[in-house]
Amino acid sequence: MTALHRPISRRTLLGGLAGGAVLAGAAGCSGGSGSQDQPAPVPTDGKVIGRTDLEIFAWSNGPTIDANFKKRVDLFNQDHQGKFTAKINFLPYDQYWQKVQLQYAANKPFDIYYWDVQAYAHYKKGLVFDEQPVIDTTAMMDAAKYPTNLYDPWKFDGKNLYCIPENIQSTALFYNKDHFDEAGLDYPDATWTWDKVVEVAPQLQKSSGGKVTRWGLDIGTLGIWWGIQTLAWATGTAFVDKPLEPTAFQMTDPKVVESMKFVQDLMWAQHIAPRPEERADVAANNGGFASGAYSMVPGATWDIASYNQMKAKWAMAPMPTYQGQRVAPYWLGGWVIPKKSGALTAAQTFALWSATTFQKQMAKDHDWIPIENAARDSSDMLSGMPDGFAETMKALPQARIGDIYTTNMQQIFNEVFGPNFDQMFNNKLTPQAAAQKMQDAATKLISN
Amino acid sequence: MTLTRTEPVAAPSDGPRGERPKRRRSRMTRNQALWCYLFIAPALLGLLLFSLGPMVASFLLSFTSYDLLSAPQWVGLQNYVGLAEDTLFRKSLSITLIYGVVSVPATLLIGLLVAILLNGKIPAMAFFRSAYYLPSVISGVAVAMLWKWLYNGQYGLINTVLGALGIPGPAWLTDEHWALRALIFMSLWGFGGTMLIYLAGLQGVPKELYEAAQVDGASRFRQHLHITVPMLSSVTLFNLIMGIINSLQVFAEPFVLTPNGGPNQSTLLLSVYLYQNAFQYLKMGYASAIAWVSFAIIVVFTLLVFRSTPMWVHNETSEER
Repeated sequence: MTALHRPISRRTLLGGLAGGAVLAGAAGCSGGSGSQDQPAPVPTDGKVIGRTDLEIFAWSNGPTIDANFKKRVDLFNQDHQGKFTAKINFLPYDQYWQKVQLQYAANKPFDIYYWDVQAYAHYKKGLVFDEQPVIDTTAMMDAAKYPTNLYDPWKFDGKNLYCIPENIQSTALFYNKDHFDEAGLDYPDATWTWDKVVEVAPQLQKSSGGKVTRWGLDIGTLGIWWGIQTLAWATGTAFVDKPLEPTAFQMTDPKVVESMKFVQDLMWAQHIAPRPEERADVAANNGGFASGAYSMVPGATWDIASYNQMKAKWAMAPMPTYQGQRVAPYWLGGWVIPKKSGALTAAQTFALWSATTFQKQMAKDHDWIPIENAARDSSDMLSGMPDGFAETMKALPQARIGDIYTTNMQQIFNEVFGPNFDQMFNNKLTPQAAAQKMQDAATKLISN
Repeated sequence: MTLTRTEPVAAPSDGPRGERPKRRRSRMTRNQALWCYLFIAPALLGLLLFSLGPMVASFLLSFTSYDLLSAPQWVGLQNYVGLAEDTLFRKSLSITLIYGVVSVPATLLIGLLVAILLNGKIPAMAFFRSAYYLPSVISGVAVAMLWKWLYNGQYGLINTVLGALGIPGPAWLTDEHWALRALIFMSLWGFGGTMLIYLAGLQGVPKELYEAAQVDGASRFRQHLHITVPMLSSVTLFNLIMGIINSLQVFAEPFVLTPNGGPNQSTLLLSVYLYQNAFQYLKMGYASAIAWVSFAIIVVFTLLVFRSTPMWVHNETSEER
């Protein structure tokens, strides 16, 4: 009997298949890593690296922004006819980073994907190029044309950009003009302090049958860690010693605790803003500010696109000053291109085109705020935008990054900030106790 | 073509006349084996590639530090040691056990009671059976969304009804003291599967036993206590084991109703904690260790239940002997 015809025993067959399955699994368990500072190849002389058909991935931001993204991709395809074709795919945010990470694990990363703080881990693992040489081929580093000082937090190695920024976001106090008109009150403006907000909010509140039907104020973004941190910034301190790879948390700093107490008091001591359960009810019932349930809310500029659909008249003002100071947060939006992008040149071209040529159209779309100064200050941007927008943008040069970049930050958000702020907002922990718990737990996690 | 062979097998022969049938038999046997493997291959490959393979891979990963972004690094028992010291894991485990200890017996009890009710002669029987079973076939996410509305503190149906009765309804999903109770209460809604299996079991209980009990003057309650319950004990065993497994794996409902482990992590069930570690913190090795500890707990509980069966499972075969 030849070896070819030797019958395979069941044990051999099963063992072989199991071994094959494990090997196949193990082979897939490697995204590979490289050095962090590898510069991206600069597209020159029309040389194309990778495919010309580009697959773009972003998370869904609602119908208005998604539709604008699609139009942007159509415009890119028109501008690059015969050279590149792009297609955009939207994923729900809660599945987005799983998919990005699993693609890396399968060694087939997306061609290009939209940035959020999770992508910092991809830089740390050496999975993304230093895009500085590519960015240097444009006017993006010209301080007269772009807010280059705001790029600094994205220079993860202290020198170079690893993602390509294209838009900028900040926060503002949004208010319902109809409510103010009805109450005969002046609109908020850049001179408003938080004390003024506390004074005015009860005058805007409405009740019926023992239940508040309209709140003068909602804590809005002050209910998120970075929102409270803006108050701490105003007092001269911060949650961490530095936003990029922090080495120490400063939650127990008396000024930080005071900021936390201020927000808690809005809900519990003064009760001029809904408490967590009341907020949940409003959110489930009619959606908050957009539906007229709140007269004022500290919010982020990425909400502008959805607020533009409101029937009521609304506007925005710079965030009220806290203890005499105002420090606005900002966030950069942009693109991450993996080293193993299958369409590297197309991806770089799309990201750079978005940050340069497309900026004028971005200003007209009124969804994202262009990073290019001229586009951001253009009449295209300002016409149709709510009152107070231009004033709010004036705070950008002094703004501070609203992120913290360290690989285990997601765990700190979920396990430390989330539950302890929740407890504090529910008045089950004093700000001092919450700060102490966060300080201890976050310090432990950051040292791991 | 038949794959089974019924004709008598020829005796082995050393002589030249015996060689031919032996070779033919051998070829036939090989052919049959080939066909057999061909037919079972899809199922076998599916099992190996999509169940056994990932299980073995996750077992190996549980001894590694693996962040999805770079190759796994062998860390030995570090993940398991980490679990022993992880207070959040212990909290998650105790929440899961509380969930299981309450929801599994409660689901069994409700399933049995409703099955007994629906086993009688009542009008619109088919409608009631379908209505009670319906929640079991609806997707977990859809059910969770529905209950999210029911549990709304101010406008939800539950608190509206409670309010009408003069009882102030709690903040079901945002109060840490109520969130887990809310999840357990919601889990009872899915008793349809348990009920259906009990209903099938009830068809097999001999009527004569009830008739004899009636003659002896037993009340309905006593009839069910001394006939129905023991006669359905093997069905209860099945439902109990499935219930234990399901309760240790429940994910969609807590994930949708109380994201990120709920208020003060009061609904951080094991599966949610596993998910967070795997996909939010990129600790796939640690998450794999959680999965294997969870599996070990299921095995231990299942073995304990099996070991206890002589005390409470009615076994006709053994009694007939």
